[in-house]
Amino acid sequence: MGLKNCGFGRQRANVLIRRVVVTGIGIITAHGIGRKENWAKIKSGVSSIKRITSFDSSKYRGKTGGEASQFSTTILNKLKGKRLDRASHLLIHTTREALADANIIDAVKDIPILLSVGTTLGGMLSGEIFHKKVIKRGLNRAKVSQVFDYLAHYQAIHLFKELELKGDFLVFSNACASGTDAIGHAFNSIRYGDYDVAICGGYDTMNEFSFAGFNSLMAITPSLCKPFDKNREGLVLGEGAGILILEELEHAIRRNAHILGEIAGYGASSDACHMTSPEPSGKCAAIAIQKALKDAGYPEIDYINAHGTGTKYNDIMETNAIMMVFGNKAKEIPVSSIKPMIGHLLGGAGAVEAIVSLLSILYKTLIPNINYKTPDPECALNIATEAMGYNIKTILSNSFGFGGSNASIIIKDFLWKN
Amino acid sequence: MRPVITGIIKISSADIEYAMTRVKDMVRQMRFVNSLVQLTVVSIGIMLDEAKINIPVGNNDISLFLGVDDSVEDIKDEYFNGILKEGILGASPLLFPYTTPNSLAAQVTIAFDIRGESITVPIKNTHRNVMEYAVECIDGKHTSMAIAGGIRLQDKNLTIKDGRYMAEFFLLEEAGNAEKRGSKIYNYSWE
Repeated sequence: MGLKNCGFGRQRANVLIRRVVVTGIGIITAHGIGRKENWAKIKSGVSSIKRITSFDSSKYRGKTGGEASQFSTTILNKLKGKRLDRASHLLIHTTREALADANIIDAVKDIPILLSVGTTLGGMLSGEIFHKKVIKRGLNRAKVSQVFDYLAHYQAIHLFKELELKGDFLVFSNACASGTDAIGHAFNSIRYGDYDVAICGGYDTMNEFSFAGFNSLMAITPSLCKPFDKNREGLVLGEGAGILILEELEHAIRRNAHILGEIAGYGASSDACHMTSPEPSGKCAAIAIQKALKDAGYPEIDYINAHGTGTKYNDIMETNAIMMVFGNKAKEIPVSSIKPMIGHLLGGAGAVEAIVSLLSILYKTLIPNINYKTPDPECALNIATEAMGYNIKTILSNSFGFGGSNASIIIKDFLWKN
Repeated sequence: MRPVITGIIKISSADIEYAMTRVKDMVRQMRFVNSLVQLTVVSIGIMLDEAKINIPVGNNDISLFLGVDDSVEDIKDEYFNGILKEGILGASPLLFPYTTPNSLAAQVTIAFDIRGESITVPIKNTHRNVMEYAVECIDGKHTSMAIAGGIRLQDKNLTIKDGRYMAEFFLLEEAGNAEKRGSKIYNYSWE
């Protein structure tokens, strides 16, 4: 075991807290591959939700999803692509893109790097193939090699091997809050001096087993995903990955990196209520938001990127949590969810939403909550329905998951003066 | 902020019946969806009780950091087999939520009303990372107490009654907090 003595030597409270900036991003969603394509469609309010093609969805209540159909596999130098799950390909591709964006890709072999990623499903597609063969041929005749990339921590191991990284990794599997928790951990690790550079984010793939599960819970909408709308009927699933390169400010300055923004705060909590339903009053989600705000020094929030799944219970709970934290000001802060455009990316949701929020700061543009038509008195927030120029300096991004995992992060415009 | 250990528990699934005699009525009366959840909840219940933590906790003073290895696949298998044998109607809305690795941590937070952060880390070595994470969170003043540990598959050829799973957890606490509570502090070290 790593810890040699439970005297726990390091005195973290005495460590000078360092600033953490974002210097690179990589993104794949149903909108496409890369920052440019994703942002063009996000700001235009385009939906990339289509009839699912990777499996037969005709027998399900919902038949659509946000498949990243423009992406198939990534180029591999060290590993054999055929043995890797789609989840590994997504993770490796977006990480390479983020490292290239940060202009650090050639240096990563020489510096200790923290990899902190979130996933709910891991290599679920491989698991699905394996289980189907077990049923067909029996356990003894199923190939164990088919589960080579099944477990949730294997994709991180593959990424380490492929990019020949040095350092450590931690995988978070906290349902839909996984990506945000992974960013939060990377943020804390850098600001307390454990690492100067971290690769963080999240990913998940579209697969029938999970789709069937959400379908069995009647959580998938048979029509459009309409977060905060009175007539909302549920969520739509998506797939993709989002990776951010976090860096200690001085380290970024020394290598003349282009700074995209700053991570300012992170908070997490548990509902302690129910496996699938959120705690209805929003009081526990509010704890995560409050912690993040406190961590960031209580900045003014200009925009809230909501978890906004489009399910009846999540949206009311999230509204209650926002109202509880911000009081009357809650009705003024613009709020939107990107899930109606690209779907719910589960473990990848928090990371992709953090990236989109960062872009909304960079391009000073409010992101539209598409498909919103009828206001719901129980979700009486300032829902942004149209993309528009807006002076966004600081954002709050929320993620809430099954089992009552809540996580929030604060991202802000980078200013030299803190 | 100096974290110290104020609670330790290690229970095999072979000993679950005996363990059930050590828990409070509140835990004994709970119904569990599967034996992994039972082992996790019962282990942590005994540890909290022995560390003189009032349950239900009812606040966000305690956080939970849980590691799971391949053992969580046993839950997925049951769900998957349902779908594969019976088609989509076999996708159980009861089992599906338990296929996410954080279902064990979720059940602990629900059972003991723990509202601090709960983090699940899927990994082979279930304890190292979560212990480090818990120490970091206490060090960084993000929490004053943390339950850290995990569940591991001891031997996939063993049945549950023979000890297929092992639960190991620690209660970590900020030293000042432990002193104030009059907690027993374990002088525990490992490699």
